Amino acid sequence: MIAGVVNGRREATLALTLRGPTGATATVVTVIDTGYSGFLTVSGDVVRQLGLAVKSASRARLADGKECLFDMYEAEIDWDGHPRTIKVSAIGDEALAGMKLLAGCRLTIDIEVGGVVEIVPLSNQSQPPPP
Amino acid sequence: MTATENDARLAELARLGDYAYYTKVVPKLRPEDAEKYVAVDVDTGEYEADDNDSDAIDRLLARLPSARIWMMQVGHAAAYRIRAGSEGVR
Repeated sequence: MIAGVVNGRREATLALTLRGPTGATATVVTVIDTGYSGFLTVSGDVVRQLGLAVKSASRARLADGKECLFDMYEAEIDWDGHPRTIKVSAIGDEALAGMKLLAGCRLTIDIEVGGVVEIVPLSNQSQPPPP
Repeated sequence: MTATENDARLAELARLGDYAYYTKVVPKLRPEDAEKYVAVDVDTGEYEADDNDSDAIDRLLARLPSARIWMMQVGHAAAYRIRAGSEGVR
């Protein structure tokens, strides 16, 4: 199980530790965004801190109809006790955990300040979901 | 690289990527490719399509390690959705 907490804005947050190719690590507090179709967004500062290598670029459409362009990188995270390689997008200053990260899991949220956020893999709790 | 230079680089990559996708990939797509993610090399038009964006990128990089990859999703103008507005994303 992966655990998080509901913050003062009633957002479900999840602290994730990312690891770059040189072993550098950074822990970021992400907001779970079920409206985000990718894995994870982080700031450019986190990308530089981890020394991530760019893998691709893409475009995202935002809720207000505007679009943003961004680079995608690869990083490793600790996920339910296992290392997991994911794609990370450098967008904005806020870290968002998206639906691709949560794919294959059950998400439950006690929606009150300080409430419990739980993410449980659906198939086998000892194995991470497919990337 | 300054933020302005980075924005210009991404804009150019998007221009090249859109051109490669719409001229070299779209004509080859099959009905079963609907909603798949497409990783396309902006320089050669070589591409990989997969339900999983990460797998498409990894397969194309395995074939073309120096590829400059642009991601699209079949049937959409943008590969990803973020429900936050531009104020939240900047």
